Amino acid sequence: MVEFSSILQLKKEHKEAETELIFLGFTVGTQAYALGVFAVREILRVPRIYSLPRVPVFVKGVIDLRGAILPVIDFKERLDLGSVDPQKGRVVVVVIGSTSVGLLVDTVEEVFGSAPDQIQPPPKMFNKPHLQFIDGMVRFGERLYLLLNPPDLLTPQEVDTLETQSWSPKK
Amino acid sequence: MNRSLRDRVLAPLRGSIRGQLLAVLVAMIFVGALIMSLVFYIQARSVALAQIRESYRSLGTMVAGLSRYDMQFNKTGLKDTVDSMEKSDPNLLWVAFVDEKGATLASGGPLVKAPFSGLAKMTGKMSLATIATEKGNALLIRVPIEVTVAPAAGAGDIGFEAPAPATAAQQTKSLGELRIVAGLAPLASLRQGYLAFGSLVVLLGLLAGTLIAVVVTRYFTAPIYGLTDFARQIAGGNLTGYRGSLDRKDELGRLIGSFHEMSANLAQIVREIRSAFHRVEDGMETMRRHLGSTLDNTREQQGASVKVADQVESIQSAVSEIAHLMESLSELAEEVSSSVLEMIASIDEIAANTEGLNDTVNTVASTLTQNVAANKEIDASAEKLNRFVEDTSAAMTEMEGSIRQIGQNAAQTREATELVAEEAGAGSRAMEKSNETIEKLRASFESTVSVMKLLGKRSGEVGNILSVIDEVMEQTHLLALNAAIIAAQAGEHGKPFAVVAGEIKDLAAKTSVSTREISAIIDSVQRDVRHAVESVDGQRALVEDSVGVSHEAAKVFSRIEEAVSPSLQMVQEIARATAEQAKGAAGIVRSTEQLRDLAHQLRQATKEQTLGSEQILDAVNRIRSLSEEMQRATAEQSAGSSLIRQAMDRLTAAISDVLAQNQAQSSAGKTVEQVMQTFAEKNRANVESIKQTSEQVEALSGRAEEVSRVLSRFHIEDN
Repeated sequence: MVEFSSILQLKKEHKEAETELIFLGFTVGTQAYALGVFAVREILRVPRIYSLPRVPVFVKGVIDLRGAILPVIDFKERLDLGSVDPQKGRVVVVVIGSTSVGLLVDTVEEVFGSAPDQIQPPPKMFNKPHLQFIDGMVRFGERLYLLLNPPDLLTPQEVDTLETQSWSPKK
Repeated sequence: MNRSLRDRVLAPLRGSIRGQLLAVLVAMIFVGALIMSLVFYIQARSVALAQIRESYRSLGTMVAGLSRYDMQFNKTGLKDTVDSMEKSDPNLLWVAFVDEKGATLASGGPLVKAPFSGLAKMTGKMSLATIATEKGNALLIRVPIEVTVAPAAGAGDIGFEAPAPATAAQQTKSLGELRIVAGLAPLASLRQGYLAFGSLVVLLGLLAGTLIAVVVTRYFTAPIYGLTDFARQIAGGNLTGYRGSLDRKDELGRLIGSFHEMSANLAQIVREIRSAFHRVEDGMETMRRHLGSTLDNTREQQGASVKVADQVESIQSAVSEIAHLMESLSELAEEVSSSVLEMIASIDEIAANTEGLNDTVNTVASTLTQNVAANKEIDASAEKLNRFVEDTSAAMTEMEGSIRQIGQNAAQTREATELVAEEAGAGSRAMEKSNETIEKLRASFESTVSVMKLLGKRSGEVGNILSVIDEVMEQTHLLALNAAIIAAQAGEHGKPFAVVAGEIKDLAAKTSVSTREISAIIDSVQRDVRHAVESVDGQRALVEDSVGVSHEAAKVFSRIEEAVSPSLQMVQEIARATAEQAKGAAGIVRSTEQLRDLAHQLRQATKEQTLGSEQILDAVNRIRSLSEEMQRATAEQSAGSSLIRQAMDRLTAAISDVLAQNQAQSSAGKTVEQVMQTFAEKNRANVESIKQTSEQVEALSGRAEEVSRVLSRFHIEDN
């Protein structure tokens, strides 16, 4: 398992090391978001999503990723922007805590690097509990990416639910 | 550190994963060798010390033994020992025995004041330390000497017996320690030897390590370089596959394999597109050829129709000529008629005169004797007769000339009518040819339509293939993104992978753009094909019209032929009748000449009448008989005249028939002309639409060339 420090901490570390931070950029609705590349396991086309019973309400279903059962969360729905079209969307497999979670997004744009001093803190108005997952902002090319902090994408209770609930297949 | 210097040193490494790996491995091996040499050094030192310790331990044991046996360890004994030690060990500098209080007992005297029993033994830890002496660094070895003291059973009771069982009262007594100062020469030589060996090992290790580093670096970087070249090759459109080995089974091997597979799939797709396009181009070539032949056919048709129009015009002119001839014929016929009437009137007059002559002859015969005086009157009558006969003769000659002219006119009419019939036949044949051409045109239209439909179908197939390419490109894009993520997670070493992944992504994007372009071209091709099919369908209606018009024209020609044949018959009849008439007229002329001769003879006879009555009587009788003959001839002439008249009537009727048919023919000719005009217009429309189709086909082939150009950017192996 990989431990993640927050992006600002990473930024500090990388600033000292004078190296680039690498992100995966994707789009939901009209806004671009980015995740640190170490939090991403892989990108998939939307596979068949099984809507199993007794799955937590915030989980859209589960997918079978080479034998591993992963919960899938529609990030667009979570942002109250409707839902992702399964024909065009992508699943970004993100490592949150000790579990991997599939994040349904509209389009995956690019993998890009950014110097640490290019990363700006989020505006003050984002400093609200339900916007905690926005960790910073960075401009790359024509897009302004909102940087996401993977552990904040889900509430601790939700993470707990995913890690302990009975829906996960018993060995 | 100097930043520019560091950059200058590291700059060549940043661009090359091979250099980076090599540098890292060499650095690691260097550090390893250093550590190894350090370990060797320490090992050499400890081995040397152990050897020294071992050699001096025996000395300690010996001293302990001495103190055991020689309680009165005196100066001499110690000195002897030292001497012997000095002799045996050139490194030994100084030996002293020091008691526990620190007093040196090297000067003889009892080492131990109090008697002690038990075994003296070397116990405790030997200690080694380096000290400085006048002769340089030396080793101080301290060997503690202890004895186990039994309770005082008896003074000096020192035996060789086995040591008494240990009791609680036993105690260990320290006698002091042996201090030995030895030179460091053996240590130094040992260390040197170890260091030489160690350096050799390190050097060999470095050499071997560098070799391994080079090999390992090559093993890991060669496929990356190959893959980079391969990606560049694919980006350049060369899809001939990975040139290197595909035997690797690790992640790089799988990456190369999937790249190779992708290239092969792309090549297969490009090959399919290319073959589909060859088929499309063939189809277009066929279509173009068909259109060319169609255009030729239409032009031929146009030529044929122009010819037909010319023929129709010449028919028209022939018809008008006929009409003209007919009119002059009619005038002549009227003239002949009036001449014949005149002749009949003359003949009637002749008949009346002949009757008068008869009466006169009769009167002459009855009053012959008295009529000598009336001879002059007879003479005058004969003269009158002569004049009439001359008149008749002239009229007959005139009539004969007229009849000959009628005959000539009739022959001309026949020729003209035959010309009409011939032209009508030629027109009919030309129409048949034109019908054949139109049929051919229709057939080529049908094949054009089928070729175009095939083209549309093939374009649809290309569209399907394009959707497969699009699918593959989407997957490649995803693959490239995942590769970029893995490369980023690999850190600095993943950068070349990131470059490759970026290139693949760009390639996928570029291919996607090309695919969309091709798709747009295919769409427009299909649109053009639809337009072409529609316009060809429109042309088909025109062709059907042309077929109808052609058939109509052929019918009109056959109607002309039908109309001309009775007029030809009539003309032939006229010619026959005219020939008969001419024969009759010749008979009349002959009779008239005979009549003239007879009139002359009559005059002579009248002159001779005065010579003799009998002669006159005979002459009168002869005159009578001649008169009868003349009557007969007149009757004959009258019959001939009526025959002429009938013939003239028939001629007139025939002429009016011919005139009527001429008018019909003229109107039919006009209809033909109109039909031909319509036909020519349709033909022109045909040519226009064929040209339009040709232009569309040219546009189509332009598009096809565009597609071809896009496709030719890919290099694939031909098989």
